[in-house]
Formats: sequence, structure tokens, C-alpha cells
Amino acid sequence: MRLARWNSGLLALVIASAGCSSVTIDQFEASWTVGDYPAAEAVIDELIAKHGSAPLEEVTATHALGSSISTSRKNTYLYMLEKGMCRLARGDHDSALDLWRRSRDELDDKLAATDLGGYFGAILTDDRALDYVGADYEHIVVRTMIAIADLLAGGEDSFAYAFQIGEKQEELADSDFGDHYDDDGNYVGYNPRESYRRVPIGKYLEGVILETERSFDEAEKAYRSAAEMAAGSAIAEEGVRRSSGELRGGQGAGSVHVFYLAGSGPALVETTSPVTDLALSLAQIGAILGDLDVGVIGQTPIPVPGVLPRIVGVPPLRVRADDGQTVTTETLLDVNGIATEQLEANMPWIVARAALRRAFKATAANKASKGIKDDGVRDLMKILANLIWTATESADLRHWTSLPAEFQATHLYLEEGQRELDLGPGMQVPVRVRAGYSSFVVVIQPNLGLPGAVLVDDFSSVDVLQVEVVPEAEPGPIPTP
Amino acid sequence: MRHALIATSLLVLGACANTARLKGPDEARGLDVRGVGSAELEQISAEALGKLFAIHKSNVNVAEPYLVAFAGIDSRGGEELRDHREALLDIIEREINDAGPYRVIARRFVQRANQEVDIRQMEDLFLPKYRDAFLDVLGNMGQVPRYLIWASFTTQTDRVGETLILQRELKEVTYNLNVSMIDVQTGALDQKDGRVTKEYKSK
Repeated sequence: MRLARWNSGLLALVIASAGCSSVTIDQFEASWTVGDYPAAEAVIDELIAKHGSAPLEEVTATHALGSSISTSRKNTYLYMLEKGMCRLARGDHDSALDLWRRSRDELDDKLAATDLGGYFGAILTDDRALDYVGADYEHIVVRTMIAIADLLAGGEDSFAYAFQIGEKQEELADSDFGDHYDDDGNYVGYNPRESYRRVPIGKYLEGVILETERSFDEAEKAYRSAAEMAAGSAIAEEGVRRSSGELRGGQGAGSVHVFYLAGSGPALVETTSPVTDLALSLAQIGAILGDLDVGVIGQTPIPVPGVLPRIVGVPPLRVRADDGQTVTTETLLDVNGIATEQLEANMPWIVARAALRRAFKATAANKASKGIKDDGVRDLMKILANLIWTATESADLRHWTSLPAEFQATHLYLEEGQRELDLGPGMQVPVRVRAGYSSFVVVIQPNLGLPGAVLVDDFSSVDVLQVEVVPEAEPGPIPTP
Repeated sequence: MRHALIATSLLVLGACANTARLKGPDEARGLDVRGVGSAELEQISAEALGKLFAIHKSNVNVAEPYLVAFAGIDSRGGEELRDHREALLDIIEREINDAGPYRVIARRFVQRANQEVDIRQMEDLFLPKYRDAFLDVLGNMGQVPRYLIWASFTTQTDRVGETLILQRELKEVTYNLNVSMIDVQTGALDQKDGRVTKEYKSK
């Protein structure tokens, strides 16, 4: 009878598993990196339906903006970031913008709720089961993507979005996360955000928008700030010279700004980290904050996430105009670099929490096994419990997978009229240039061996431009993990 | 006992369910806790346009109302208008129509003129060549406005400290709507502001 019940339970589990969505984020990533955006979007729709507890038909029909989709449930808002990339690559900047706005708001709420007490309060839970707070650089990049999408849509709110990049950057820099003082008032904490570099992309975008609005004094200030943040940035210096009047395009010329979302951004892979002295002392703080009886915190290595760049050293994009001008893009934001730096900065806290969790579980097992009288069984129970907990320890590898490796940009002046831009093989695009105004071109190329999606802002597009690239040939080389 | 449990469960479930209700006309408007909302947008629109028309309409005496082309809104603040933009356009048009001897030209005519002249920001209308082109397109559609109006929305944020209890961050955001009006016949410009400051407490 017991066996029959067990078998029927197993059968139900198998049936339930078969009925569940079996797609994974790895499948999305595989399609995205070869530029197969429809296939990538089909996968992410399934994941949003599953995590957002909504019918797949609604997710697909509403571009994941339907009212019955629970944005805050599980990883829905993380997958909406990926969905936004698909929408943008397929020419739908409007949906992309709304998807990212919703994700931004969710991430903001999660981030605001994170303090040191909360960080250690969830010590019993696996990191992967916690709400995804977003890597700090993702909070910057989501605002960057919203600003770029809004520029494509006409730029009505683009200044607000560009401004929010800097605002978020300052908020993170001013954060007191990790600061802690002992009873005698001595500083014993560690603030990972103190080491963050400020990135120039927000100020650069502000400069672009203010220049477009002919607020040249303000534009010059913004470009100068960008140039200060990225010492030696030729493109920011050129912005300064344009807005100060040193460099002008002439009476009949308009500006063309090209943004290049180059290559595939970093992947997170599981690696191990030793429990450093710093992590050990932070874990002690965590034990006190969490009021945890953890016994001895061990020294064995801990599984942690590590950044694996999928591509190193993205070459610039060469932009050729029909008047013979050729310009190349320059890096404004190195996503691989910032992801690596920030993860390394946060590693002592990540290790501290994992070490504390392990110690807490081991202590709990010891206490539980004290009731067992037989020494052999008790020891076996301890060994088994430790084995199970150690084996099930995993690093949290969630991240925004479809980000580019780098954000690059360039600018050129072109005479008014319909102009042709050649952005590389399979990437030629007409642009309607207007004297005294700015046009915006965005190139998304996750795989440098294949043509990317080319988008032109609504005011400057000549036709309905939905350059959708479905690869026919074998994908180009991507460094394997 | 079992009935009591079921009743308690239903009560708990009921408390967790989504609910909605219509607010009465005298009830205070709720405030958006994340950013700008309809309550403050209505307030600053009413204030700016009220000031703009207060003096102006006392000096006019016409049998026929003046036609007004409301060209749109520039957003220059740290917060996006996005979902509120269309609602704000409606609010401003309503305020103009309710102000007295003014009638707003239907939005589709104005949008068409914006598209044809390629007006990408409302401040372009300060420049005579764009303003004339804009008025020409409207004129070709049989719409000859006496006044051109456009608005500019800005925000200013001050972080003013923390609450004593729970140390929640306090910030104040001042929302400002600047409305510009040009008399097409005389070229005279008038500008007025509506402003409100909203206090936010973060989590």
C-alpha cells in the first residue's frame, strides 16, 4: 500500500514536470547571442509566463505588459529586462521602454529594502531563492537603455532618464551598505561601493540631449563631466568642443549620433572563493546582526559567482557616410569591466554570508544530533547533513544576460537630406537628417560575426525600419566559457 | 471548530485579495509614492494657467472666443512624464477651455502641424521661422490661432535628511510647470509658473 502511494506520487510528479515549462535562461542566451531575436523572445515569454503566473498567450499578445502578469513575482522583472532587449532589437522601442521602466521600479524597491540586517537575516535561504536585487551596474544600465529607447521614440522624456543615470550612480556611491561600528565606535565594516568608479555614460547622454535642445552651455557642462569621469575620452572632448562652439557642422548640417551596443555582455559562472580574513570578520558582524548561534565559521572554499567575459576587447564600429566621411565608435561603458570590478568589490560580503550560512546549518545539525543516543548513527547523521548542505550550496548566477559587452558611441555632422550610413556588412541604413537637429542610430550586435539590428529614431527613419536578422549562416566565433 | 477555521481562512483570504472602489468627489486624492502623479499635475496646471489668464482675460472683450493652439509639453526634469503626458495635455486643454474666451484647436490639427514642421521640442516655437511654418500649416487646415501656448515641466529634488523614527530617507521634490503664451498678432510673450513641493519618505 505504501509502495503504491509512493508510485502514484512519483507519477504525479512526472506528469506535473512534463506539463511545466521546460525552457531555461540558457536557451534564451543561446538564441540571443546568435541574433535570433524571435526565438530568444519565445523562450523569455515562457519564462515570464511561468514566473509572472500569467497565461503565455497574454504575455505574447501584450509584449509582457499585460495587467495579469505579476511583475514582482519570482524573477519576472529580471526576465522583463531580457524581453526589453528583444523588443528593442525587433524595432519596438515603445514596449522595450515600458518593460524596462517596470523592471527599474521593481529593482529600486528591492534595492531600497536591502540593508545589512536584511542581508544576513535571510541566512537560512539559498541566495537563489532570495528576491533578485540586481547588480549595481544593472541599475545604471537599465536607465541607460531606457534613455536610448526614449531617444529612438522621439526623446520626450530622455533628459529625465539620462539624469536618472547620474542620480542612481550618486545614490549608490553615497550608500552606507556595509558600514558598521563596534561597541567602542571603531569602524569594523566594509563598504564595497566606496571603490566604485563613476561611469560617464549618463553625463554623455545628458550632453547629447541638451545639445539637441540647443542648451549649449548646459550641454558643455555635461560633456565636461563625462570627460572628467573618463579621462582621455575623445568623444566626450568632442562634445565639449561642439557645444562650446569650437566645432560646428555648418548651416545646412545636422548631427547624427550612433550608439553601438557591441558584443555579448558578461556571463556569471560558479567558482569558489576562500574565506578571507575580511570575509571572516564580516561574517562575525553578520552573526551578531542576525542574532545567530553559528559556532565556528569554517575556512573551506565557498561557491561564489564569477564574471566570465564572453568577448574581450570589442573592436570599434566603423561608420561610413555617403559623403565619404568615416568615423569610429568609442567605448562609453565597459560592461564586462564594471561587472568584474563590482563583483570583486562585493565578494567579501557574498563570501561572508555563504560562510555564515554554512556554519549556522552545521551548528543546527550538531544540536539536532545530540538527541541521538547511538554514537555511530549520530556521527553518520552529522556527516550526511554536512554532505547534503555542502553539495546543495550554489552561487547565485542570476544576471541580465542580454546586455552588450560595451556601449560605444560616435557622432558625425551630415548635410540635410536623406543620407545613407554604412555600419558594416548587412548594416546599411538611410537616415533623414535635418539641419540643426539630431538623429539617433542604434546598432545592437550581440554576435560580432553577424549583422546586428539597426534602429533609427522615429523622426529620422525613412521607412518603417525593422531590421530583423535571423542567422542563415553559422554564427561567428564566440569565446567559450 | 471547523467552521470557525474556515471563516477565519476566508477572512484572511479576503483581506489579501485585490480590491478597488470609486472615490467620492469630496475625498482627497491619493498621492503616487514613487513619482509625479495626477494630483500634483492638476494643481500646477491650474495654478500656472490661472495666473496666465487672470490678468489677460480681463483685458479682452470679444464676441467670438480666441482660438488657441496648445503645442505640447517639454519635459526637462529628473522624472519622466510617460504615462501622465496625455493626461497632462488633457488637463491643460481643459483649463484653457474653462478659462473664458478661449477655445483650444483640436489636438489632431496641432499634432499634424508639429509633424509637418518637424517640431521636436516646443521651444522651437520661440524661433520665428519654425513658428511661422507651424502657423502656416495650421492655416492651411483652416485653423488660425490667436495664441500659441506650450508648457515646460521640470523637477528639483532636495534630499533633506532622515526621519527620526526608522531613519527613513526624506526627500522633497518640487514640480514646476512653466506655461508660455505668444500672441500671434503682436508677438508678445507671457510666461507663468505653477509649482508644488512633495515630500517622499523612502523605505
